[in-house]
Amino acid sequence: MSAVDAAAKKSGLKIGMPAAKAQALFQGLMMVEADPLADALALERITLWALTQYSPIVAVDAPDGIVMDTEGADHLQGGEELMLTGIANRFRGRGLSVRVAIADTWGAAHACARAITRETVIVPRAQTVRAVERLPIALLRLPAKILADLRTLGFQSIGQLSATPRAPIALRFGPEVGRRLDQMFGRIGEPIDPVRSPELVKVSRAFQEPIGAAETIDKYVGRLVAELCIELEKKGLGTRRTDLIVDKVDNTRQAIRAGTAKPARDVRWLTKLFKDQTEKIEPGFGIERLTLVAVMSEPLEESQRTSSLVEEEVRDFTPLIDIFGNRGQRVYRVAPFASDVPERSVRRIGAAADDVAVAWSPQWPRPIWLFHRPEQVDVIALMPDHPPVSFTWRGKRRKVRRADGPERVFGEWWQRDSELDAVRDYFAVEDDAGERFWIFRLGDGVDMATGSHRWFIHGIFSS
Amino acid sequence: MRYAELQVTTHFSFLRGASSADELFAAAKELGIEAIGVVDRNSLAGIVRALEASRATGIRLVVGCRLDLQDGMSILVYPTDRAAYSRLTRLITLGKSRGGKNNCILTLDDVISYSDGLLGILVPDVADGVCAAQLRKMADIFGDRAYMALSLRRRPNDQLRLHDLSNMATRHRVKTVVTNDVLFHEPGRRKLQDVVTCIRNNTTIDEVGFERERHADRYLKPPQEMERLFPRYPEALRRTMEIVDRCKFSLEELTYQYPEEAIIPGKTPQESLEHYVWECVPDRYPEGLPPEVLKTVRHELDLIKAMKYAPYFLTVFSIVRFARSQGILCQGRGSAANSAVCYILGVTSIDPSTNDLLFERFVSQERDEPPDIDVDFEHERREEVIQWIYKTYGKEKAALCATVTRYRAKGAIRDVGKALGLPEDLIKALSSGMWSWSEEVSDRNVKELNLNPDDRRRC
Amino acid sequence: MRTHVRTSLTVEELREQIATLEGAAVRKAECLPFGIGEIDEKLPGGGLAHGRLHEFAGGGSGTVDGAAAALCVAGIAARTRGHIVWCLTRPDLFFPALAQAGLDANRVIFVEGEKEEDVLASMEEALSFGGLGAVIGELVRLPMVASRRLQLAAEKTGTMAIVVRRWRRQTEANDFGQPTAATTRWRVSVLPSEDLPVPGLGRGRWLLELMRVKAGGCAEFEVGACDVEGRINLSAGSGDRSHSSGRSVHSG
Repeated sequence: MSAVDAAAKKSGLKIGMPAAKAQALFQGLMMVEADPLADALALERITLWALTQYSPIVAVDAPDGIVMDTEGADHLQGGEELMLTGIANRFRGRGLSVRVAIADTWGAAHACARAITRETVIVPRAQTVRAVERLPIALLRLPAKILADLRTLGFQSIGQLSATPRAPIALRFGPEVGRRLDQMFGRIGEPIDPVRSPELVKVSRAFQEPIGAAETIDKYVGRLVAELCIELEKKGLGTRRTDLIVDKVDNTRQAIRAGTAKPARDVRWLTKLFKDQTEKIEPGFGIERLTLVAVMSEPLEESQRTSSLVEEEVRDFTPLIDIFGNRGQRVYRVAPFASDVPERSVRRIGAAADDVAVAWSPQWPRPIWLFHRPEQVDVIALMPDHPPVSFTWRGKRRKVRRADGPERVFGEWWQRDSELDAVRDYFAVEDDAGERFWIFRLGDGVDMATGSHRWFIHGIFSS
Repeated sequence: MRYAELQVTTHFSFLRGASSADELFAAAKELGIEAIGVVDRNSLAGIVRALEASRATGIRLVVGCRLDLQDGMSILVYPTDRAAYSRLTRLITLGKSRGGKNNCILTLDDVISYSDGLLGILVPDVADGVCAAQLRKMADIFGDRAYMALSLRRRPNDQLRLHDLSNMATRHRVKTVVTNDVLFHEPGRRKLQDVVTCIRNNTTIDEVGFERERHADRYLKPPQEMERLFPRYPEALRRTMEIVDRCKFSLEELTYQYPEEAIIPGKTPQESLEHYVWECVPDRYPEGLPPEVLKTVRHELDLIKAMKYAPYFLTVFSIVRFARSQGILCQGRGSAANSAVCYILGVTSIDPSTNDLLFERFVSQERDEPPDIDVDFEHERREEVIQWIYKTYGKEKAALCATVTRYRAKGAIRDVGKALGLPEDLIKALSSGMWSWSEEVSDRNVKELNLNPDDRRRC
Repeated sequence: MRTHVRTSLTVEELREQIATLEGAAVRKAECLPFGIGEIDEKLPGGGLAHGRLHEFAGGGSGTVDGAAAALCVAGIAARTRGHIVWCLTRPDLFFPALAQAGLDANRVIFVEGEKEEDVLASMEEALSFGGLGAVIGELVRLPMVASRRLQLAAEKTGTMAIVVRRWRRQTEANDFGQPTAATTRWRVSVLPSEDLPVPGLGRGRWLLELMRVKAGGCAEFEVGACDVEGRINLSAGSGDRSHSSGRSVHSG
């Protein structure tokens, strides 16, 4: 058995168990021939995809994982936690079970991801030691023979191993054990070699004399951008995600990514996008190589090319959108969604998306502020369908002078059980001062199955 | 307060109404509504069922139809007398003959030609320029028989909308009347209404968006509730009964009118029939009529005379006679085989002398309906018979009867399953677990397929 | 080729020639009028100037504020031409309301950041980019320095910049007293609307105060809220209706 699913695991099947025994344990076991080559190829494809989505530095962590350096890239995903849950959801959405861990080092993240049963874990900065102390040594990425021998000697956990003096172990097993421990705790580096496929368009320049000054970096980045665009042009491609990989003298690596909403091949535009970010580059002891890779490219015809940044009649705003995006700002447009439930009637679409033809009904007034969570209010109103006479909100009582309604909104019965019969009766009310509020009552005022008859305020028309 | 609901759509507005006439009339009775005006879309197909339901509950049926015209205008038309009803049927026939299958194409000019005696209620949207133009036309065409419906939508600015509509109608001298624009008989039916909308638009519930009916509360309400909802429009409320009183036409007025071609000049239909019967006897009984058969024949003829069915038998006879003259095979079947008269006329081939026939199975005084005589014709030559009928009776007076499509369980399950977005194999399983002709799906059927009857969508 | 030389030029023509020579972006119309004489005459150029910063704040009643101000700004944006960039930190704007003020959703690009500094930076970036109908930003504070930068960026490309001052607490509202480099500063608060003959809500009414305008005096106007084209109108009659009959409150 090289892999077992959840149901099989529950029945006691384990990886490494002989097939005959497995079949005996579980009646009607469905077995599929393992194909490690296909698995490896699939993993590489997924890794290449992850490269375009999450970070410029992504590699395969054979045989069953992916490793990513997301330093500096997580803010584009909304922060570490959102990024992890986003990854988990994405993979799960494709039918893959996944566990994701983020930590200071490759070694620590690798171990934690395989140690957890839930889907995600974040190891806070500088907390690696505590996190891995009790993890089994099997997660150290050591060869099986060494692990077996270590276990024979009585070592169970990583904490135990790292507490032991180095020298005798090195004598007995060689430098491997010590290296893995040092990598895990960040004492030595473990640079990640980003996965590459031959199709990716790439240009690179090595420096005999390492460079470090900002203007020099800018100058060479500019030249690389020009070269990249030439290569892209040859293939009729434009790039959507471009990575600048900075290789430093001390064998560390840094990467910067620029994304565009539409495929790009414009030298000035791409140069500006990178120029905005070069201050993030830390040259350290010197940069010995700069590489520019178009990790996600798409066909680009001549007519689609944007002109330079000078003003023209019909504007293409995608460069502006890209500038915002690369700064970590969320950029979007909104469009109507066909739902009567107000909080569902607006959806966000890409800022560069095509125009949407439909519009909201102009005849049904809607408030300009809508609360994410309607707040409960105390209301005096005549049942079953009269507007409130007065209401108390956040401690302040207001008399209602004028009102409109009810606007009866039914729950979307096909979405949720709780909405099977649910009704909201909305009223737009105006108080003495002329302030207008959007208030609803749960339920139609007659049938308790349609709602609890509690009142809520959902938004403000004007104040 | 007396109230009649004059805008009711039954499920004979196919894939739009969600309740049957039985359910609607039963609900009306319970709620104290005096009369129901059935206005299916461009069709009178639902009227017969409505009549049955009306008889069963004692609630008055006002026969009407909703005309959806090509330019977007919608009018509820109610015939005030039988002649007007006749005109309405011809108007609808005109529209359907133009439109083809499932389609009815009518313009305002058509309506003008047939508008005599018809009462019209305009279905408005908002009080804008379009509405003003429509009101003008209503006043021109229907004169004092012109009305406009006021219905609550339960949407923002409803009261203002009604106010503006009411004022505009008054300015154009069109009277207002309150309606509820009913699509189903009780609030719980709303979900089914959503589903049939999906089927009609060939989409699923997740995709249908705003094709769904968005105006709320389309179920029957009791008179007191209508009064409470329209406190500013007492006149419009009263007019519902005014219209009911003006529309004196009832379907009961319709009787059968038989063709007269088969009648022998100088004789009445009954006499003609008896003449043919005695004329045909030698063909069937060359030795002479056996006494029991004679007794039976007399008995049948007496009954036919009492019920005045002679013209009907004559028509069947003339068709069969033509067919046999052409050597076309034909055979009467079903309960008609119980009739000695039919045997003698050559319509059926069950010999009363050798078989025990029960004529009462065929015609009975209690039933008070003409009997059903089904005659099968040789398939390949069916067309000749049809052409002869058209030629003899005239194309305007003969018609091929079509059955109105109604959902039976299997088809219904298929289409509902699609609308709810259920997977294909599940739909197949659900629908094939049915007998093809049943009216209801039982919980047992559902459980048999290992499904949870509590699941929201399957529910 | 003409050989005669014009000897006298009006000051206006000279200004235009210089502007053209300087290559400053000249827009077809220099400003956006409200279409209401009494208001437009108070504004230099007869309307809200393009290429300048304008500030709109709420009335400061306390709890949640600036709804009327935001709607007023939406109406103004609706009447410009071209795309709109709207920068904010808290996305509680419900777009259907803006659509009802005439703003087409396809025109508006939202830029959402974490902090006020982000809003300022995004506004500046958008203004410098040029080619937009207007750049709008929601801010609690607007320091003088920041407002000057916005003003400069707006001038550079001739794009209208509008800041909507939103505050959550009364203390923040006091910040409005601090001077800024805005060309016009407005305050929009609500007034009771007029009764309808039947239950319902008619057109909203606002008190639109012009607090500060360069080389001009203050003024206040009672106006009807934006219609579906983003236009306000001058409201007839006084706003104070000491009201007796609550008849319009009930639907029955």
